[in-house]
Amino acid sequence: MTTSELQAAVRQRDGGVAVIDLQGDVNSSAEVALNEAYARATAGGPGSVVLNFEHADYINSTGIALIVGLLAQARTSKIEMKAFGLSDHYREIFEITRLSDFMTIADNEDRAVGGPEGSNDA
Amino acid sequence: MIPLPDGRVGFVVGDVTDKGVPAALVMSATRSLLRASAQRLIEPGEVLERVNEQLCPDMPEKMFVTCLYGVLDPATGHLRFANAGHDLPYVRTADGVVELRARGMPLGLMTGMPCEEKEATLQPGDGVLLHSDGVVEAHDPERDMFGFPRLKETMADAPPGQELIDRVLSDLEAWTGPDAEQEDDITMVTLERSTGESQVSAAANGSVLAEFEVPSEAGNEREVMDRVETAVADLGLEPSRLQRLKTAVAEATMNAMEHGNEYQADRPVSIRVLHSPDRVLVQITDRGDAGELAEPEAPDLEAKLEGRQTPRGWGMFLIEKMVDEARVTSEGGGHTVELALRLEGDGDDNE
Repeated sequence: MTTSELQAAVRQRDGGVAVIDLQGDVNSSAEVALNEAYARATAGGPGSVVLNFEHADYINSTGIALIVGLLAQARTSKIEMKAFGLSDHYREIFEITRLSDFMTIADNEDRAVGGPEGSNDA
Repeated sequence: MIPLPDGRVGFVVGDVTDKGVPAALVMSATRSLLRASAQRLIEPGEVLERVNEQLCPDMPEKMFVTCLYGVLDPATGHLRFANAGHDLPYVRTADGVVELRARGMPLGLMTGMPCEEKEATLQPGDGVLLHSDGVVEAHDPERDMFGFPRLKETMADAPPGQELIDRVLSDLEAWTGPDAEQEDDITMVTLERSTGESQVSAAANGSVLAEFEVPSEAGNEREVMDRVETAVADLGLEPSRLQRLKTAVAEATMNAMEHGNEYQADRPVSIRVLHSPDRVLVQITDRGDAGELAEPEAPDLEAKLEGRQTPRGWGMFLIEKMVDEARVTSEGGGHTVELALRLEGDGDDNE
């Protein structure tokens, strides 16, 4: 397996939601792509930003640190952060690190976009 | 030598002040207490602390016991040890002879004394010499002591095992003169880790599934993850446990490349994957020379979000959460992180 540089695309959804589609490795080389995408996603003052991890198959501790950095910015700007598309393994890591206490982890995009807290309930 | 559960072995060397019957009785009591504690407690430091508490009340005045106690895992060469004021053992490694240092007061002096515990990993071919002060304190006719440097030199040149002991004794005799009366009792114990070749054949204790190096370049942890996955493919690890092992391996490799080797091209990271009957072990070794790695601050997400802690610092935390056991040892200018994962919970796999 080879490393793959992170590509991060931004989509605007209805209801003031920006989705960042992540593709590749969330590691130290992802910093610029991730921060630029976050800047684009928040330029229009959305209510929430959703990270799509469906095509991010490797997240390491440096990647976790980058996500912590985004989460800190979002809290300062009172923007809600959510995520979906995490594998069971990375969902566990988001729980161990307590990231999931500060960002809603949804099962899929519709639930992530659909509403505030509790949107990932059945 | 004290056989312990899991195939590990406790070893001890000690020396009591004074001579005669009182000293012999104290040594006998110490031996019994040590054997009993070693079966109940795992940590060598705790064992010595417990023995000290039990010895102190009945200890004759002006008498004490120096003692070094270690626990060795023969499958991996991993060694934990604590030292109650005993002469430091020497380890002969590929890079020269080094001491196994751990601080602690002799036993029987006063209660409540802490005993520092240290770890090291014996590489294949490494040898340990445990010795009592009768060796280094032997005098020549001019009253000069044999001393630690001479013992260290002998250790560096001599073959292992009994031949090492014979060599030390003959060097001592040459030092003191053939007719000199022995001043103090002499105890020596040697331990040797067999070379990789014989270890592979010792499959019952732990076989080597893979052994390789990668250059210290960012991103190479992915290659290590894949090669470890291939190496353990036949062990039937549950997929979720395999994922955890891979994450721990990646994080430990990143630490080795970044903190140990400082991303220097001439300092590769060495990886060994071992399999014992009940667990898989991955040893990740850097070539750092910066001494012991600093203990990382425990990550606190709230503190990180409020800017009171750096957003980074998750590596060791993740490693410890992902595997059943994670240990860091430092020796001879390098650090080894050893990750252990039990092979349990694979009953659903049909392969």
